[in-house]
Amino acid sequence: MVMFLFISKYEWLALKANKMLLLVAAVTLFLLLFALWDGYKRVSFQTKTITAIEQQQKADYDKYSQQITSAKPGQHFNGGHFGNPTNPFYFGSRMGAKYAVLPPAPLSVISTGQGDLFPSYYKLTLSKRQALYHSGEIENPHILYNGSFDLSFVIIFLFPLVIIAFTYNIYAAEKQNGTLQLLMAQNTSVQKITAYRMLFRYLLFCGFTMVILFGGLLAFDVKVSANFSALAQVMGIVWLYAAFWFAFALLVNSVKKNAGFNATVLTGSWLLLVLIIPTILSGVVNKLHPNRSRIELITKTRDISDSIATSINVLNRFLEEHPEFKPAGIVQPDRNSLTLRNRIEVEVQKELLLNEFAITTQNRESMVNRYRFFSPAIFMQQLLNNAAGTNEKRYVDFDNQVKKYHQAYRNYFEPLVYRQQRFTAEHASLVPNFVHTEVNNLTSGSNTANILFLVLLVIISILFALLNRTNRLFSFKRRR
Amino acid sequence: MIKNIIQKELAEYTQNSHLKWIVVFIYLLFAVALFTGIQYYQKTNTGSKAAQKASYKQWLAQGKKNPHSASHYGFYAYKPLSPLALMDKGMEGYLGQAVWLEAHNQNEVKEREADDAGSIVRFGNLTVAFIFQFLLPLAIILLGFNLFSKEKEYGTLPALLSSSASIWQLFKGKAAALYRLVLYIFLPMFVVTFISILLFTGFAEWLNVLPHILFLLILYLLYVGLWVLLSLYISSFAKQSSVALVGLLAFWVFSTFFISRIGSVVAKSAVPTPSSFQFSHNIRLDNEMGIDRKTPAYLRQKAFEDSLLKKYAVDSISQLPLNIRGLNLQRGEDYGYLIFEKNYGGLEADYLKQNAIMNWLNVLSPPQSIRSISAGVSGTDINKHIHFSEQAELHRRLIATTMNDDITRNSVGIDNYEVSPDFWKNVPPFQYTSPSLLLVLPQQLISIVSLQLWLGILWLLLKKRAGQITGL
Repeated sequence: MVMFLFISKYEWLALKANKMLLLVAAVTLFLLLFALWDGYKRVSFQTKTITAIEQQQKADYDKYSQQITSAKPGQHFNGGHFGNPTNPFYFGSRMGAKYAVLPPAPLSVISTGQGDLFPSYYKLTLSKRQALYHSGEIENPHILYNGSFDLSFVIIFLFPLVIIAFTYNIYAAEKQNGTLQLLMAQNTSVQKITAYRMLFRYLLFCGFTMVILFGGLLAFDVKVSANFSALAQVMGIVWLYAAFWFAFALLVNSVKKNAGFNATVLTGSWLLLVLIIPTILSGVVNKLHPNRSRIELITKTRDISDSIATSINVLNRFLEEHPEFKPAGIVQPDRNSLTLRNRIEVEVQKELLLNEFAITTQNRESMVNRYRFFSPAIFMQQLLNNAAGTNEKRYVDFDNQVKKYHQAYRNYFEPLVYRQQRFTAEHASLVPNFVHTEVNNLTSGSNTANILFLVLLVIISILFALLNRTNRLFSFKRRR
Repeated sequence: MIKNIIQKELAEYTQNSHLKWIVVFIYLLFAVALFTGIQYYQKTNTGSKAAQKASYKQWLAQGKKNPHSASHYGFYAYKPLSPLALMDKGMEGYLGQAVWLEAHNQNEVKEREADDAGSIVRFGNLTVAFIFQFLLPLAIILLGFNLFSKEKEYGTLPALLSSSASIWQLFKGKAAALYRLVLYIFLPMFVVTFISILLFTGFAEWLNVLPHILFLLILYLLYVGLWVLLSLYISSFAKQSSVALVGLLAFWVFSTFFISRIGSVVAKSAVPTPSSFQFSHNIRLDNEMGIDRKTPAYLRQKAFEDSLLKKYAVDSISQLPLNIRGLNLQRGEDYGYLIFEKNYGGLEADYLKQNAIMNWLNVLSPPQSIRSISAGVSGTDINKHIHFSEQAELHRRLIATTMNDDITRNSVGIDNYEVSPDFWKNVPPFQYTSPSLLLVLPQQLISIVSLQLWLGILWLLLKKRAGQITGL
């Protein structure tokens, strides 16, 4: 400990005199704040949109309830019969649309995740549920293609590079400056000194990052105390991931080659871990579990709806099974009832096809999960997306809740449509609303496994570096 | 003299153990990328061709129907994949593949591949273009970072200076040697890709894109040269090779991974796009209140009917020689065109503004410039996408007009008007014509000029540098 403090003191003095420290600090500061600012903008945009949606929905309901109350029999509405709010079918199909909204999770600023692809709100009407499929948020495809500059990008992609720049020549610089001999003449081994210096730099880097991160989160409106445990997990992950790269740099330094060699090996490993392995894994997943074709699905769906067509039989059969929905008196089922019933029949049949998609998605996901340990970048992405609530599972879960809600919405309108009842203001006030229930993202088993694996990687790297004291482990390099 | 220098450098490279590993690594990745590209092309292309046929067949098989119902039924237009997507998938994963051509609504092109692909694809795709644009420069850096600095390190510089070769000749020789070496690595890959496109997309398609491929080849030859010059230039400054290497690697990271994402943020902040809610709400308001927000739907209809009465000099709608329903439907469509042109047109204009900002920033980064040109020329970028959606929209209008005209002319005084099944043939199948190279290149002007500038400036800098080196 005394030794560590001693070395730290002089390391600090040396760093202070060096431009490198200032550069690393400035770059880290810029990256973190820029990413948080971008995340903050994204979340504010989402929050603003949600507010606008809620206001519009309320305004529409107020307006049409008013119209319904003052409507006189036989009155003409703008838009003809489609604009008649006293007809439950037209009201439910257009005027009385309800929105289902997924609010951004408290730590959403830290990762865009899948949030730029998956919709976080749906407009629900009496139309087919599948009509909603991927009515995602508007975004320039070029921007999607580039990817976003969020905290998760900074941590996963850029931090390792900053760490590499900060550490690649710890040992080699001594060699180059000719101070190595001096060090070797000391009591303490060079290996130990290098390790302590690395440790000091690690603590310095992470400490600095934590300060900026906390400050940034507070500045950008994140409720730190309310989300303390989730935040603590994110911070812990950052420490661990940084520890992995520092330990790996220590390992590479322990080979005692020149700075060029260290830089090449470290950057090469970075390229392999954050880019090549994930893209190859993605390719293998595509090969083994190819996505089902949405294009084929379009054709199949049309075939289904054509076969059901606008035949009156579908509705008649249904009304025979559910006499309670028959219109009162001698009134015949109308066109709207027929349209609605046909839609539902098509939806039920299409659901079977869609299930195949869900199964493929699951297979792909579990394959990625199985092989995620090939690259810490993959499970870092998972960990940070989970913490930010922008992971795929949260969106799928939202979709399932929307599906249930849509059923409730339609169930509410169905009897009114079949019975050809007049839609009243009271009816309008009783249309069910969507309420989102949050699922816990952070306590899943795979999260724990991810963290444990990171710890393991750090320990292995350090062990190898220390065992490499006499540089025997990598002696194959010396053959030349 | 230069010939001798080239020979000497190439001889040194043959003894370089890195070279073997670099070549093996790149070729392995290339094999994977090419295989993936071929599979992607075949699967997507056959799928969309089959679906295009099936959709038109469904349209023809509608049976007896009212033309307006048919117009609602419509059919789908599928975006055919460009043959060069085999090499450069570009942003295809984030662009839709199909659009529904139906009455009243211009729809978005939907079915993005990325929606189903899971978060792993956010790391990017391993494509042939990725190897040429991003990994090849890395190989050049690793082979060229010590091209000049080694002479300082080995202490051979004074000997060189005292020889009859000038530094400029030395530079040219070294650059030519590295360039030749890189071409030995690059050209076989390009030729294999070239042949694969012929084999897997068919002769006609291949012939169509031949100018595009040749253009890309020229571009890559320049691009590779650019990195050779850059490596040599940085190497000529460094006292130690490792400093040159770290500097070059830093620039590589900056230009490949950093600048594009910064571009996204800057473009989005400078030109914000509406939320999807806001977008559809605007269309709704344009419909309900009029584009000027002063002429609601019923006023527009009244003005239209008044104009008809005047035009045909009759007192009431029922006296018109044409069917008012058909006329009204077409009027609705015509107004819809204005609404969609305003909204979709506005959105596309915003996208193009955002792209322009990103392209300007890409001037700082040769890899991003070439990435943009390559996607454009390969027909896998947003410009091509807009080109497609515009043609699809014209076809949608053709469907609507054909149906409405028939209603207007032939259904006067008929209550439940229907047409015979062979009427649907009057609408031809949708056939997309992709833009020619001459149409594409101006869109990439900034990037093309920027690459030339990089090359020219590096050449001049190197020449200047040659004059500065006098000794140790």
